Amino acid sequence: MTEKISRRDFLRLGAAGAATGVLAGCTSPRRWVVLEPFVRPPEQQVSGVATWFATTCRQCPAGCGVIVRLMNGRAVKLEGNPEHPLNRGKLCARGQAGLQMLYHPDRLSGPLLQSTRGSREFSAIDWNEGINRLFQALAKAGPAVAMLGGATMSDHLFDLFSKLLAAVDAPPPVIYDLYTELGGYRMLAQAMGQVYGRAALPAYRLAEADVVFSFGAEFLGTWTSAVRYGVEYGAFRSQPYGKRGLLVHFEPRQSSTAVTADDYVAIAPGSEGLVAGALLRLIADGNLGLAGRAESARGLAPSLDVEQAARECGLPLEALQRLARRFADAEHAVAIPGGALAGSSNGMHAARAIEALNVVSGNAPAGVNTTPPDLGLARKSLNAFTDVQSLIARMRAGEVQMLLIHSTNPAYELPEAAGFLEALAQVPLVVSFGAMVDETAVWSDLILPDRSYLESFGYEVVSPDFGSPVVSSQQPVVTPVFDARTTGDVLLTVARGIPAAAAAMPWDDEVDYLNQMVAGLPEAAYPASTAEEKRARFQQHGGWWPAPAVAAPTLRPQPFTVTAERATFDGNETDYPYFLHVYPSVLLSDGRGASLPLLQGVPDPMTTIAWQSWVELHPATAERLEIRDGDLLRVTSPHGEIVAAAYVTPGIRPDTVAIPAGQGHQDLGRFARDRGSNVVQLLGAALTDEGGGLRWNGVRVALARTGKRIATASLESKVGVTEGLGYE
Amino acid sequence: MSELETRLLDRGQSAAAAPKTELPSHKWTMLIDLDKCTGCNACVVACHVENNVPIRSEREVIRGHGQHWIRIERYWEGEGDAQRATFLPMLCQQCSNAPCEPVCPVYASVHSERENLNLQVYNRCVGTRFCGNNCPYRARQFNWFAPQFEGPITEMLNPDVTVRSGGVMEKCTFCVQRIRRVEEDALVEGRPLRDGEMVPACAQTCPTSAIVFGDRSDPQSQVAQRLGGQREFQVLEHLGTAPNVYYLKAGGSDGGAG
Amino acid sequence: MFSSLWWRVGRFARTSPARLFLLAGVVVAGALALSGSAAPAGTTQPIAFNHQVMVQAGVQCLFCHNDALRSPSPGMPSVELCMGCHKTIGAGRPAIKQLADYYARGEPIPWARVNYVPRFVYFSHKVHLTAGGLNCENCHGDVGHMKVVEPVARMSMGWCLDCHSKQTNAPQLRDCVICHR
Repeated sequence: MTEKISRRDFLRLGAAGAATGVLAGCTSPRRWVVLEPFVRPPEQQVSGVATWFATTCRQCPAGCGVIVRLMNGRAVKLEGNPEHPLNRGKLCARGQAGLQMLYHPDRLSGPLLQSTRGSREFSAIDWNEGINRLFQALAKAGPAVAMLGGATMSDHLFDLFSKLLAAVDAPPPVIYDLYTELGGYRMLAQAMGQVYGRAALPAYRLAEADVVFSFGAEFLGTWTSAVRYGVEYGAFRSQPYGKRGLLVHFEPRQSSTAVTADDYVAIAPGSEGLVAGALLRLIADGNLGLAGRAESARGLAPSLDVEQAARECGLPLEALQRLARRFADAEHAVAIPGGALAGSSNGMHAARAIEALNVVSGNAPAGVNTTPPDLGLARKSLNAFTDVQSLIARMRAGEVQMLLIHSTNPAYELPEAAGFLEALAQVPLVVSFGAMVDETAVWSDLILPDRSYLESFGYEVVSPDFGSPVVSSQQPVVTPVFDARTTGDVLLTVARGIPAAAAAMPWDDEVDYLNQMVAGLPEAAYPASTAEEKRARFQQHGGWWPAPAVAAPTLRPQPFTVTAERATFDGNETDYPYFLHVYPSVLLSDGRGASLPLLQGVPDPMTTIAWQSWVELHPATAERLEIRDGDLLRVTSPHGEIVAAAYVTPGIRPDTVAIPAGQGHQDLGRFARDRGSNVVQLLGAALTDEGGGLRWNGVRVALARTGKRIATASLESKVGVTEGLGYE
Repeated sequence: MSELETRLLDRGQSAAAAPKTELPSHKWTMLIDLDKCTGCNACVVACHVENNVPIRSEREVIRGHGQHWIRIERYWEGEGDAQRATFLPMLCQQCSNAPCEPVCPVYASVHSERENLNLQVYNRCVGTRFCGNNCPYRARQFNWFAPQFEGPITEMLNPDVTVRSGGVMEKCTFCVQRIRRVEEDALVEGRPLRDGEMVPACAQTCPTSAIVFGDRSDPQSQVAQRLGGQREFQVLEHLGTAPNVYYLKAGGSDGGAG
Repeated sequence: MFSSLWWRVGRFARTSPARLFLLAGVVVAGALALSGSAAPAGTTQPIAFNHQVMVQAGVQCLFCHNDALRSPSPGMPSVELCMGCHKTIGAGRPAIKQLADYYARGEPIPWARVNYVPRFVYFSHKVHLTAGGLNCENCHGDVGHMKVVEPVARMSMGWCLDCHSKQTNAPQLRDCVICHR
């Protein structure tokens, strides 16, 4: 070819060449990807293949067994432990989010000192100094030490704290948190004590029940043992011969448990006991049900006017009669007293009335009606709000020189009227063991961060147990990520320097303590021929439980009386037109879940809102006050006020508003801070009639528009719920 | 051989010398019993953890960019004050006649005949979002922004699942990483898969066992045994997408209260 | 912008088609040389590890890469595994001293990756070595004769499909789900 190449052709060829060069020259990343092997691999490690460890979840007090999937030494998934008798391989949303407690970016690495409380200006010190400070203060304070703990603290740690405090003649730990308060744990255990003579948290077997009446018990949400109740509920709906059980749920608000019920009854707040009493009365007077039931009811039914009771509860009389007949006629009928009772002034009365229904139907709850084997293990017991008030009084009086706080957040969880923060000013040294800086740590002087539950040894006696005793085991599944130390080891170190404590706590470390505990356990369901094998299998299987045996009920109901008491509320109807229904969020619980994006960012089942808090109100209320979704409302109670975004929903009574607990944090990490409002600010510190509980379900509120709006972060359409649903 | 003269031995010949077993086909099916679903969201959180699905911020959720491979949809049924909420777990229906497949210009949304799954190939996706547009179930989730996994949270990422970047579409895969792993184990051990051996993250964690998973081509499997009942329905059946997710109506055998 | 050099190159290229193709060829050859299609010079490793010496001593691949038959990942030998022999064997040599230093410091050796598939591809050594009937050399080349490990092929999808297509169950092995997750 002799013709010249045109400029256009040259450019084309040149560009093609250049392009080839550039594209091909995009070298593979292999030149800067580094392959790091182990230095000393763990024995069981096979790269690319998972290793599983069994431990116990501590996201709530239930104590479900979990197995953790590890890939190359990193924990990547949590699953329920299929062998564990409580949760049988299943796990709830909060349990699944547990990995973010382990790998949270705001976890503390090393002890901190705060020179001025509330300043949030921390200085880092090393562990030796931190532990030394604790030891010096403890040795000096002696009997003037107090400890406030929460229900997710494992039993082994409760034991160590108790022994240490006893050794210095200090009062025992006070165990109280918002989770168990909203769940009514202590109140229910007390009620069981009155009915059956044994104060233990009840567990209701649903799997073979015909009829279940749930009185505000959100057992499919966060109440007592949500995973196991889920397992029971699944079986309840698929019983032999197509039987699917009948669930009736009584609650002023449609919770997710209410939604799954066959029959949802929107009763007036605080009237659960009244409904139960009326049912007893109807069974007794109408001679309803299977043989012996009416007679039993006659002995227990309170004297009340059923028609009036129906009016007060907000039920038509025919509905009550139908329900009474249904319950009495069912072979296997169960009544469940829920957490909401605990917050009502008449809670204990209501609990007895509801448990009376179980006595009538001949179904005592598991965990109460059988005597557990005496394992000789320390178990924490929950304290009443009055015990917390006593502690605060002692603090205020200057009787407490040092306050230790673990797995509870009183600065966030207690109402202002309890006076915790004011009393704290009279305590010279406050030590927090939290893994992250929470509202209480901000008012502490010394923080000795505990490790997360996935990095700790321990044991937890499962409560409630559903008829099978379980001691659930804990073991570290990963090498600790942060420079935190288990509080148990810290206490054992400190104990060595105090002679009485060293005698009472002779163990080298937590592992030593645990091994001794395991050695004392009776034979388990799995075989173990030597002491060493017993210890290994305790960790490997995820705990200790005996071979399954049908435990014969040993306890019979004692004589007790049922009275129909009305609930009292703070605030008069004129100034505060609405009942306030407080409930624990399925995802955020009592606020502890607010630090985890996996729980914040998942839509709430009833409102589909994520990351925010809200106040649920009825369309009639919205219309009357001209409120739309997202309007910021000032919610005022006789004790305080908060601002919350409105959420209009048919799932609430017209005379009630509902606000979930959990948001409104000022601390607890970057994901929890400065979002939503803390409903506890609306509560006072009044007590229930009986039992010394906090009356958190006894407040009335008023609503007012602020004139501002926020955009709602909800999964559902922004158009709103009520349009086109029959409210125009 | 000198190091510069190393050559690739003919892999094809030596490997083909050992005839390969036909890999077994499956009809992966999910059955969700709405009578048992409590809306607890355990499946949602489990899926996020298993599949490295990012949690989107409050601002993103406000804009409708919340990202979940499975979500609990809450509907209201009834009139006025008699309204009751119901829950419907919604995820990719793995349609046999998927509307998202024919519209992808780069073949990122393809079908696996052997597994009967709708696949999403992340590296091919260029982000036209046509597939998400076409999906009647809104199952497909788009990464409008690159996911932010902060600090040590990257430690909990599942190495078996690709971590997607911004601009890429994703959706439920029936935990295909778990499917492949159990299949490989079964292949190497020279045995067929057992029913219940393959369970996706959502089904594994569901406390009430509302979600059941299996291969309906195996007549002995749990799913096969429970299909064909009176309560069975599929979502948006009339669109002809032929989903592989079946639902069982809540309530008694006639759909009413028991 | 248009320097006289570029003008000269342009003029050179336009004088005849032969010279244009020569120039294009130089560009393409350079691109190929820079790309992974050709075996590049060996990647620099933190320790001058020589597979040839290991294999001549009788050490099999699976001795160090011991997970290849039971895991998707072949396994990188831990520093402890190396020290198992090299505590005594060749203890004085500079490379072994380097190794001992890493072990003493408790530091992993930062090997530079040589054989690589992208992160969105899932490859299982276990399946290929057992059910697949392959051995290490089929894909990694004659590593036993490499003083410095080089990749013998760019492990692209086409390269994988090349072999997959020759199998008796080829249609199944061409399914996207086999590698893409």
